Amino acid sequence: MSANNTEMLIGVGLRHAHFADILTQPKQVDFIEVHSENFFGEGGAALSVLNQVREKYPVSLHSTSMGLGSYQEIPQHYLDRLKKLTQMIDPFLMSEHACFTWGQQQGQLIHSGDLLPICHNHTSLDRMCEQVDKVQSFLGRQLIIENVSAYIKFNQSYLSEAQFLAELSQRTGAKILLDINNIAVNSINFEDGNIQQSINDYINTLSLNSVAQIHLAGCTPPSAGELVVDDHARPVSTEVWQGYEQALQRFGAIPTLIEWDNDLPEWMTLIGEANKARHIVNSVLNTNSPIVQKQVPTKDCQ
Amino acid sequence: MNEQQRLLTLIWNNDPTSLDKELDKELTEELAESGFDIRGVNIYR
Repeated sequence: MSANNTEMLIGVGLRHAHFADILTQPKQVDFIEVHSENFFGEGGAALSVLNQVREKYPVSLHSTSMGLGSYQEIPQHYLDRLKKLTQMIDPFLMSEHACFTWGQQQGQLIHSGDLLPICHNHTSLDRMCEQVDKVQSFLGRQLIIENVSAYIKFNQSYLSEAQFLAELSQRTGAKILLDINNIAVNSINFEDGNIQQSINDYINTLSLNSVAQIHLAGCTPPSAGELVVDDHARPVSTEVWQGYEQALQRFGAIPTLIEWDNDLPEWMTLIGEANKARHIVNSVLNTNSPIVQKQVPTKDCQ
Repeated sequence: MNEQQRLLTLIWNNDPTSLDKELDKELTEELAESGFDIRGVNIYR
């Protein structure tokens, strides 16, 4: 199924534990997002489910392993698999992260297994523009690039991440996936923790037409003195909902996804988070977003 | 070695079982020079 009007869409990330729900429950969200790499295998049950989901929902392919910011070349076998999946699913959005994943150890190509942060300077930006151009050309698709949660910063960075992404978008034609929880996490870990100010500064650095998708998630509060880890294990926090309102006020209606990856809740709790996003869209933009009108109460994570 | 390779090497080469123990001098100096917070490096391990 294709998305004709992408602006008002509210979706959820589909994980294995909810496969039965998505196939049997009535349609309650506008689109589904999956992690591309989980469907790289030839055949199998997971791909069969995705093809069935595809008949009912527009699908967004969110990649997590490409490492667009890597100085190392992205292996061609990775790109070949992604292209094959893209041709099969025909996603309405394709996204990745502003991070690096590939490198070498003792002469061998390795993958970090994590979204490692990149240095925000023009050496790194030039490299990432080169990679984004190459991948967009190979796939014949526009990419949407997401800001990341980070746990270290490089001394050599002199651009903010928002400045980096703004210039990346301008130079490559790629759009930006604004993860509001990631801004909140970095605000706590690296700034003064004034989340609303951090979000405000971030979104005001981005041009009005550069953001193509929003991600919302919640994470476990850290122990004293520890960094907050973006574990996607909780409902969206009050601060992130407030940041979502700020983003909607600046950018208007943007396809929005609820992510939940650890300590997965029941399907209807996830749908409740999507409904909360829809309620905020309708309230902030004075619209009537179409699919679900009834509110499902959810607990806030503080 | 570029900054990405430096971070990967830090993550890859140090024994995760020793993370809660006192860091060795070489690693401490490397972290300080790179501007990295050991808490952050540990999260990526």
